[in-house]
Amino acid sequence: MDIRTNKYRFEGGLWVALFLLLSACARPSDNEVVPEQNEPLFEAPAHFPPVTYTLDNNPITQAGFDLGKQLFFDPILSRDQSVSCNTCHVQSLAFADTPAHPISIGIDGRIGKRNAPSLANMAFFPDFFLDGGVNHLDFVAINAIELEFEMDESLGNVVDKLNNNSEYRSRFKTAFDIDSITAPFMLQALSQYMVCLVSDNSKYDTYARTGNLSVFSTLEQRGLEIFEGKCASCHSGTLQTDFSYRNNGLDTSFADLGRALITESDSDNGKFRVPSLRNIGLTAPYMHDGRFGTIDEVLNHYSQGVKASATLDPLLQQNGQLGILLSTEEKEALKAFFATLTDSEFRRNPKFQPND
Amino acid sequence: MAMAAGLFVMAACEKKDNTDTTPQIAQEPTGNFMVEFEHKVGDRALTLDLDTAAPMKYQTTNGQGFNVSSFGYFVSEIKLSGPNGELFEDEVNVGPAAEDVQGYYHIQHQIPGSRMLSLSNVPYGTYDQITFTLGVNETGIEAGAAGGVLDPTNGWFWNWNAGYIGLILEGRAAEAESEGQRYEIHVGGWKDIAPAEGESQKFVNNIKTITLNFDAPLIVGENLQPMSHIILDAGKLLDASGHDFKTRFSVHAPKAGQPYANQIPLAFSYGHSHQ
Repeated sequence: MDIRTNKYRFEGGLWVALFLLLSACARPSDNEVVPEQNEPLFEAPAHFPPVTYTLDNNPITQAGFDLGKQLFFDPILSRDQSVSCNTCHVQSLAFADTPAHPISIGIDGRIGKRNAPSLANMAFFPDFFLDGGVNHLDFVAINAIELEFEMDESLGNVVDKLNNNSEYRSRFKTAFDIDSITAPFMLQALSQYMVCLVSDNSKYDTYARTGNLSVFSTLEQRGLEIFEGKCASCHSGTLQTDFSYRNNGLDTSFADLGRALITESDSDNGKFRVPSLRNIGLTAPYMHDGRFGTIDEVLNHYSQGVKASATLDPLLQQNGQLGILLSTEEKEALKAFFATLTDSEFRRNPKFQPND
Repeated sequence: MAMAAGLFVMAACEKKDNTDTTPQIAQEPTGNFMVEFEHKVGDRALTLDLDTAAPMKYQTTNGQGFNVSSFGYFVSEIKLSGPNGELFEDEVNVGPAAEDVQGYYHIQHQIPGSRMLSLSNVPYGTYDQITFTLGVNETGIEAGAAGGVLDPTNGWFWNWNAGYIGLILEGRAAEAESEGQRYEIHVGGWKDIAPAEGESQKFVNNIKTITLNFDAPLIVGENLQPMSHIILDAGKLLDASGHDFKTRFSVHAPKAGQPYANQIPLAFSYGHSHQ
């Protein structure tokens, strides 16, 4: 587990020695995720990249998870109590937005800037949002709450509303042993829920766990082979992303500068994070602005639609050719492979649904 | 660090059970060290003007009149060191509860108490140098949601490029071509992330480390609790390269804040001490 933690607390041998001394008298730290059910709330799949979430700072408990879930589904987070997290992140769509909203719709019908992405597997992400501006899952919800075209509410007001609600006060007391609700605990509760949104039960996972290709049909196997040859330099690893920021040739000039909004560097104009392709069959439309309604359009973009610009990714302009050569047969095989990335259990797991 | 850790061990044991017979590490005697931050503009003491009709009572070195309505910053990772190898490192910790957050000081001019820091558990000894961090670096951010002075409801948190604003200077300036002649200089940006292969560093890290020498050694001992005055000249921040209120009245991103951040070490100076 790769835990980015306070360097002052774990600084080599001296600290280990002191910790051992301390453990003789201090309360034992209990970071085990022990739910009331038999199945743990959160378990890092062995074939996934390391966990990035700081679990030591926010140990997941049943009460914390349930509270985070309640907050996730509660429009109390928005200014006029009309928008909740699940307005744009729908479980049956792998916590992405409906195709009817290629750009997410916030308060008062305000249109946002980007397509709301899937929230699957965020416990393993190094940073968040398509421009990577947020470094920690705890801070993700602040953006959604405060942006005027999402929930248009101040974090302080949300905290006040929660403190005026006796049920929430009681649930925060149970989960965190606090009498007055504060923003960091609210953010931690939301993170506990989101960390647990692990999608690891697709047909592809069966293959990734065992290396056994026989789970795939001949066409799916062919798709995997093409994917590994032509897509996996960016869509790498078991989450199909190297978490880098790239310009994939959608435009010659950029209405949304993407990564450059964060790095303030022209060399990042029009770059967005390489998305995970998990549940790609559920998360249409595609691209940061949802411009492609179907996987066919996406594949056609890569084979015929890539546009040159100063920041276009070098992998999409090799040997003087723009894009990636893909035959019709190869596209069909890729689509068959993509279908194996759908995790039907994840989209209907009752654990993620409201308790009431 | 080792001394602080030793004390931590002691404290934990004492809390648990006073009758514990486990042999304890001999406790080194410690005392307090006070630090007071004084704010000036040039040779004048800083006073805030909240009235929008207040005169532009200060001048930049290139002659632009301005006043100040808000001034504050974060200080953390304070260290004291001495000529005989004395070293005190203020404990730094981050967590969701206010009491979890230690070693971060949110100094705001309008709150006089926030300008006075009391460092405790300073081992008896002689100290002639102070070092501290201006801003909240990765230690304070990569741990996740934090409470107390780091609670993001305090308005010092950038949501879009997550991190804390390290320093705020706001007010009115005669030349500012903004509504109400307002200017806002927010210095933030902490990301010190290794660039991708073949790329140069793009992130602007505006976190600064300040080191100041005392003019004479100060002793922490029995009945000896020194107080050091540290001066921050807000006017020096406006000597930033390229600063002109006519065009620079809205600074809200790391790169725009960089010239001001670069002035921060020059704006601090040692004042005087009381032994």
